[in-house]
Amino acid sequence: MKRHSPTPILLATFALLVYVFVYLPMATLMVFSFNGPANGENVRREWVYATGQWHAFSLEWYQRLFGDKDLAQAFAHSLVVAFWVVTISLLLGTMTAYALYHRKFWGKGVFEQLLYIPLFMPGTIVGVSTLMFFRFIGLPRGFWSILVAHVAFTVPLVTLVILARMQRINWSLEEAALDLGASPFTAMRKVVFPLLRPGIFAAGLLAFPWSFNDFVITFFLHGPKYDTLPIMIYSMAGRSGAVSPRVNALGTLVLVGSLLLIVGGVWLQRKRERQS
Amino acid sequence: MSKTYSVELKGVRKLFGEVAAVNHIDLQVHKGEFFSLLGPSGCGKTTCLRMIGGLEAPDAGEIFINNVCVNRIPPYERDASIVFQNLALFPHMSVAANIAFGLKLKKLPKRHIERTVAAMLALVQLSGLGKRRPDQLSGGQQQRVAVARSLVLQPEVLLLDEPLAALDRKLRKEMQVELRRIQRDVGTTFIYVTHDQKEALSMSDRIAVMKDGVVAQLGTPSQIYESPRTRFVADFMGAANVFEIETLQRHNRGLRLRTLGGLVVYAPFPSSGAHTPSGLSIRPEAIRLHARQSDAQGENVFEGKVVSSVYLGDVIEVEIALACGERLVALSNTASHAPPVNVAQAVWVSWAAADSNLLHD
Repeated sequence: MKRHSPTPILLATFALLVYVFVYLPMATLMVFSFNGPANGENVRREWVYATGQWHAFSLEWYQRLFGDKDLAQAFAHSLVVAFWVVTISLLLGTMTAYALYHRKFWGKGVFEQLLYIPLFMPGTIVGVSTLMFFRFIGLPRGFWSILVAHVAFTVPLVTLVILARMQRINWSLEEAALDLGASPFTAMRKVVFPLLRPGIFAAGLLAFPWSFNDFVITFFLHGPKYDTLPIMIYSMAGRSGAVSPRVNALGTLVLVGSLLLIVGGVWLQRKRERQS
Repeated sequence: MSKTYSVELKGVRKLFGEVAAVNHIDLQVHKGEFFSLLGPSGCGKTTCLRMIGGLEAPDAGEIFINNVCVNRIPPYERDASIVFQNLALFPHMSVAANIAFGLKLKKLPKRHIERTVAAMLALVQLSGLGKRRPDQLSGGQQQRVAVARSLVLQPEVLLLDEPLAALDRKLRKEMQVELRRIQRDVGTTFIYVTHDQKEALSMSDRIAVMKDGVVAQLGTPSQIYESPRTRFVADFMGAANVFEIETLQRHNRGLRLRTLGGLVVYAPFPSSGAHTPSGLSIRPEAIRLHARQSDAQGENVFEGKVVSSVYLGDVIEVEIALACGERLVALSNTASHAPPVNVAQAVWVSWAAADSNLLHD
């Protein structure tokens, strides 16, 4: 006789619930980003269209969004910051991982542990303390303060991911390259780096959204003239809880952009692997 | 002028922490020689190879390649190339790109590289497979790529670190023959590290048997196999019959030895100047089995009883308890004319004095 276990059903239910709570809000946001005034209707209060009642399909909020100079500026700020954060932290993180994996030096164990602690620290504390420290050293709030703080907190992330990749590399390949006449630098460039590339790529894919999305630390450091996108969205949502439907439109764009980034990244990766 | 060696080690020593992985080794490898470093794992053979290749630095002593001290020369400038145990083929490059790797670094003209790679592929019988990736090749083919990738640089010496260890038995045999053929074709010096005594015996011009970081014995395969000098070498080369000598005296039939177990054996006189032998080894295949005493010939003839017999296909490994209590292992062939070797059966054994090998440690 076959015994029926409740486990698979329970598991499936849980899984379904998780997906529902993760993706349904996003779907709602996307749908309502197209909720606008019907023909001839006069928009008096924007937040009426943000959620709740469906009026009519419209690209109203997208149009307003693209006309919004402040928002465009914030978006540009976020992109610029994330770009430099990813570039610098990949460079530093790869070197850190290489040193941690490959070299022995005094205090290595302590160094490694200290590196990971920031990943577990509450953002508000980090934000406040970073702000105070920057005041102390005289670094004004703005692009540079955000950049430095973001790099400091993405380097551990990048290091961790690349270190994991390094543990899977066959290091006699590096020795083989040296043996066949490659200088240490050439061996790194022609053999170690190509083998690390998937790890570096994955690390970049993690670091970019980390920087692009960060609200808490950035909130303390952005200053009056350097709003990033999350800061902007927060201020648009307002304190009354009345959200502008422009946020819906913006959210939709960001979601679609992230999705394209991930899908495109995976596709590129697969293509590269197939080629080489 | 002194002779030019392909590779020479003078008093080389390498410590890992407190342990000497290699402890004062002197070696001379001739040009064009197939030289094997043979020993159990941990004997220092791979460390030796890596020091010659420049991947480890010796703590003492000097290493010469072509009579030039290379102690301070980094691996990428040494005239030696390693075939790694795990082959270390670059997985992100084609077979041809793997072989061309070293040539490209030398900035040779593209057409020259293409021609050389094609010739190399032909030498290792992989023509037409240059565009494949290493993981699309069989184990034996990958092996050939690894050898080709190193040989294409025309090094003074090719260093091979148990390259056949991962292959199955049949393929191993094929590759042994193949490696030997390639070595004869190109005439490059090969230094081959292995723990497989049969492999070393069948491929090498000379063998250095290593133990605990020192060379236990150096010689041609037949010297090592037929006249092991120490208990360790005798045991490692598969001479199952090793006895302790209690007393010895000169006799007209040769050296007359008495083992600790009371066996009285004749052996050849040791060469003058040699140390007093302390042990005795007899290779199993040197011992003949007879059903009757009258058939037995040679200086050493004993009666015994079969204790066990193990069928191995081509031969039967027979363990015999002699009347004095010592035990012997002999090989009986499975052909029909051989005497029966059933357990508990009485049997006569014999061997020539010349097959009694003296041990000196």
